[in-house]
Amino acid sequence: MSPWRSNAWLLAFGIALTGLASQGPDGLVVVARDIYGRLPMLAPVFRADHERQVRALLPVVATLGLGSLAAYALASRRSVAVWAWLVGVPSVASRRDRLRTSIVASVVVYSILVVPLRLGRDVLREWELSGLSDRDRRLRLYGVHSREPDYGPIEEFRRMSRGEGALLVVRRGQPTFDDVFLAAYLFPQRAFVRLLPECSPDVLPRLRAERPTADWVEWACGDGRFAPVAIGPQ
Amino acid sequence: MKQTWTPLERAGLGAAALVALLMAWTIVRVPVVSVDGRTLWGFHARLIHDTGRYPSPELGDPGFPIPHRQYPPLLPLLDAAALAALPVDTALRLVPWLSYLAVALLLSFELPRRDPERGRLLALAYALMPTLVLSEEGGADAGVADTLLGAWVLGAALLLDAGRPALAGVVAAAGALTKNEGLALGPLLLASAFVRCGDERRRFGPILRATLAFAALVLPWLWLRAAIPSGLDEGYLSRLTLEQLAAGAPRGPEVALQMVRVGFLHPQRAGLFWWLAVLLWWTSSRRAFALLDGRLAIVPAYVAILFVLYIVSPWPGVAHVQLSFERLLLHVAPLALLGLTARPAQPIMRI
Repeated sequence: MSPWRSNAWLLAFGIALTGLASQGPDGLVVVARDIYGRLPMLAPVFRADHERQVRALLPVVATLGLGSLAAYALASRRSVAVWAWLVGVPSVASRRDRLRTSIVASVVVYSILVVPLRLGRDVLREWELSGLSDRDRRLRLYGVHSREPDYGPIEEFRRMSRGEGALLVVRRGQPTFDDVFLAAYLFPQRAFVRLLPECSPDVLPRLRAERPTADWVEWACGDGRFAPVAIGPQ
Repeated sequence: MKQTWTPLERAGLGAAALVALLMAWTIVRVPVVSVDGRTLWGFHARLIHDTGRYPSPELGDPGFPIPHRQYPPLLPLLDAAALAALPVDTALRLVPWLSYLAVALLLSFELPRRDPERGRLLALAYALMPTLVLSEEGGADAGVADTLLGAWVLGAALLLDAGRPALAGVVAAAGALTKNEGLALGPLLLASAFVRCGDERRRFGPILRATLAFAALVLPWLWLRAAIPSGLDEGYLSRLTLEQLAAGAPRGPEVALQMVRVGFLHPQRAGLFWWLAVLLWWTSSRRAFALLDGRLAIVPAYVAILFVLYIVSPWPGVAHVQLSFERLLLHVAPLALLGLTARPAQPIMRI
């Protein structure tokens, strides 16, 4: 088989990537958004900063595409069958063996190509977070999950309470996963949840007796902002 | 025996080294942001580290909102030890990351022995599973507890191949003490000793020795666990009833379809790994041998168990499949590679 034909996969790959890059950064974003849209598990994580990162990947995609086209022309002219050279399948191998080696090699090639894309995006993400304190980075990253509580006021409380005294969350109805996030975020300060049919300050003495270590109470009965209050002396 | 390294193998090795470096960098730089890391094993580890005991009093306190109170203790204990040595968030992800590296290294030695032609590439296919190391959250997912269970499963399979059933039982028990799924995978793996355990074939002796070792470690944990109240978890054992199965049956086809989609069409964590596994098995001239002597049959059996659990899952629709299936498949990924390279004439590794 002529090398121009056996290397056709490289030509197709180069055309596809170059075509994608020719759409410009906006086109890349549209493709990325489409992928996120088709994958329900990714939908909540496509954020504004991802969009910036996808835009910044344009040079990587363009370089890969143009590089593939150049490699196709160069290798074919020198009569090099790129795949056989890359994978090292001996010509004496059976058809089945060649096929099996190509299957594994394709997966490895895919994985290698994914690395610069992922690397590029993660480096850009880190770049945006550079200079922030560990706590601010955490706050920024925690904010990405749409079903989580607003960590701003929680962080404010943590600073104000200096991590001392347990927090009692009084809730009406069912416990929520917000309580878990809250407890994990405040730890080692302890957060305890108490479910009550009614949220009334009248129950405070009873709660104090139940949790002598609690210095703060959060009335989580409505949709109000997280604002624990100090439990006064008994 | 193939000796020279092909350009692709050299490039793959370079990429794997780069990925390992990037993982190390993200482990140091990025706090634990994955939900499971923060609220499950990470939270449990912090509790053990803070209280200095397991189970801590908070686990028995219904007011303390910690999910999966009955979470197996091994990873949290190892993480608590890491936190004691290095009291920063970084420590939490070191244990799973090291287990991932250990599996990658073990495979890179073992697979080329079993399959000289493709062994290196197969080991690279595992080492380069992309999202495992470079996730949406900057590598935080490199610390998933599933990696550790995958390592125990691989270790137990290699020990069975080496004719060490009792040790294999101990390692399989470590898997059960790492994640609940290990309670299903352990017995499946140990039962395979009937087919192959070192030089012994078709005998019950190895199964008995392996099971005794497994039970000696797992039963005390189950007894201890029974005293910890459940809460904020799926409670699968209590849901495995005929009523629940009948109620969940109508969503069976949708669950099965979603499992195929997550495994093959939308792989975010394992890349094209499962395409590789299926195609390589299909094109093998020793399909039946790989399934039985290679223990590859454990993979579909495990997937079938997961299917049943998804059917009775309290999560709505197929949300649980979307969130967890690909991650759970990591438990059997190294085992699948062993199965795909199983050969009757190959000398087995002696440990």
